Amino acid sequence: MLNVAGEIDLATAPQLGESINAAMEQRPETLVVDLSQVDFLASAGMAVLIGCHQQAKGTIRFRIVATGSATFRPMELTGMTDEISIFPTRDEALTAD
Amino acid sequence: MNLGQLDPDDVPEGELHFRVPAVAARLAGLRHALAVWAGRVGLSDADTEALVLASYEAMANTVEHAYRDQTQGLLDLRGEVDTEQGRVVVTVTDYGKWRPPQPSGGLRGRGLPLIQGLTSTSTITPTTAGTTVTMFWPLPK
Repeated sequence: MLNVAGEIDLATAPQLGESINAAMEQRPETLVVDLSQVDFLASAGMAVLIGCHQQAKGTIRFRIVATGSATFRPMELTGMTDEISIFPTRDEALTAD
Repeated sequence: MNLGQLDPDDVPEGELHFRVPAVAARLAGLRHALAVWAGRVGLSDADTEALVLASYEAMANTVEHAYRDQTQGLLDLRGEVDTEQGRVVVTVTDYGKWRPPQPSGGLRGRGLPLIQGLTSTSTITPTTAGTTVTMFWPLPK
């Protein structure tokens, strides 16, 4: 489980990538990135999430928790919600098959 | 902190105009200034959020692509209220080169679709002197 808070933009997206990569190096079965506390998500951040999702394919179940207009809506508008498993709550992200 | 707001005497009442170096570190401050301005001119919370993200994407595009062959360039951010048409207009202008989106395996190229999804109308005007992205949101009646 990785908690992310604050604003994910062009300047901060690389940091997000580093944190996710560090978590993936632990080889968890499932990695949940919780964006519930994120109040701004730019496309630079979405590119990082997509990249990590592609990297995790076949080895780690990569999941995102996001809800609301700051995070879910932008991902929906760009079609990202069709590519990555996104859940409204942590419980659902952790317990879904 | 001076965000690059031009001399207040040069910016008409109710409008917003910043001119800053096109670098990523400057964009967060501009985004926050835009949010305050959009709320002040009467946009709804949802439209304010859309305006802030779409404008950010246009500025991020400039930072990432417009000045790739140069060390540094400028970015103009303008916000105006068009009372006649009942709308808010945001323009982001750079003075570099327009680059059509490149295919990249779904990784990049989300900025422009995002802008289109967040505005009622938007136009991109590339010229030899630079590129202007113009975006509109309706003012509440």
